[in-house]
Amino acid sequence: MTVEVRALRPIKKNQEVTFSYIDDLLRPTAERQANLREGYNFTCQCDACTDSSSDERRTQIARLEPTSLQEYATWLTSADKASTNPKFADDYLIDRAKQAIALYMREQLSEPDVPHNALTHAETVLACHLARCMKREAVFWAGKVRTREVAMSRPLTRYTTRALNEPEQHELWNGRVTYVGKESPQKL
Amino acid sequence: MRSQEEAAFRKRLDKSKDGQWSIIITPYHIPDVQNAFIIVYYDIEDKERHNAQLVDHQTADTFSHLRRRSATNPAAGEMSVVTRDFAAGEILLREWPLLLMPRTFVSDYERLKQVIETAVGALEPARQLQFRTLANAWRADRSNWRGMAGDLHGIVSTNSVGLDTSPGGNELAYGGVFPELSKINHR
Repeated sequence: MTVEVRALRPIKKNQEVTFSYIDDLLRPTAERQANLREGYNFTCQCDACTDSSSDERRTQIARLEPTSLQEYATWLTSADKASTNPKFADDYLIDRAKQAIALYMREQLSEPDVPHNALTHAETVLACHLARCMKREAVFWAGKVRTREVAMSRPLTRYTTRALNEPEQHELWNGRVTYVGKESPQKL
Repeated sequence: MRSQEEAAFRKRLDKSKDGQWSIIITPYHIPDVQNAFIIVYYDIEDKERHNAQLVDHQTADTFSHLRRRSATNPAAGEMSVVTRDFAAGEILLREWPLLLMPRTFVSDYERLKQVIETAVGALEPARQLQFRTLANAWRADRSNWRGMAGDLHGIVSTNSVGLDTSPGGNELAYGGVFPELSKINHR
């Protein structure tokens, strides 16, 4: 049994490598500090712990929950209701996920795993672009999802491979449908 | 489990008086390291499960692309830096543990102390030195010393990382102490 440490982000020569000693990095500074004091007897002086605006951003990240499959499925089939409900707008899920991704980057955090019935923020952006037949964006985000899978030592999935290599053949391609009446779904 | 190992396990079996649990200290055969140790605590009832999780005969190279440098923040002491550029997903470090032990352990601190001392004492001298020179967060400041079973237990508590030893699971039932990994700072 060996341990393997992999880079989650690109690291430049002579840059420091770190990992987190505690579980939930989205908790406020005071709570993280208490956990580190309790478990490791030291006071952390990292950027996040010394920047008073960090707590607000981390709270915001925690509020931007990953997209549940249910929510994605509803968005797929609700294009016709976009004018009355902003949650069904074309860009609603993408905007929310991108906002979360930007905050994660700003806080120099990596997106954690999500439950099986949910999509990570990067997977959300990918899935929405596939559903809207936006090939260039889909391939770009598939690359991001793949990089994370590799970094987390995940097996290669057909889901991501297909999005990278033949997005038009992907099961989610052109998946955003509008219902004209209940019986006849029509592709947009 | 192979019968040879079974015999080795049995040799070091240390049963509780009431027969409810056992502690095993067993040599951990690995290709490029003379010895590391697993401390296995198990319920007599649950023997197969624990053994199956821990014994892994796959060989693997060990390497480290990390070097030690003085940290920019003096309070942090030293830091680990990479020796070249790395892309996301690349492996920076692969190594064997000095010691593996269950995260939930017997509450009998005297026994625990004895078990850890035996396991560490059985490491080859170079590995033993690696273990004994790791940080102990509680060494200088005992005000927060929460019933640690001696200095070596303090080292285990400071440096061990939770290991997912279940196939595809997420149990983190064991803690491992690794020589290079232990020196990577928190952020």
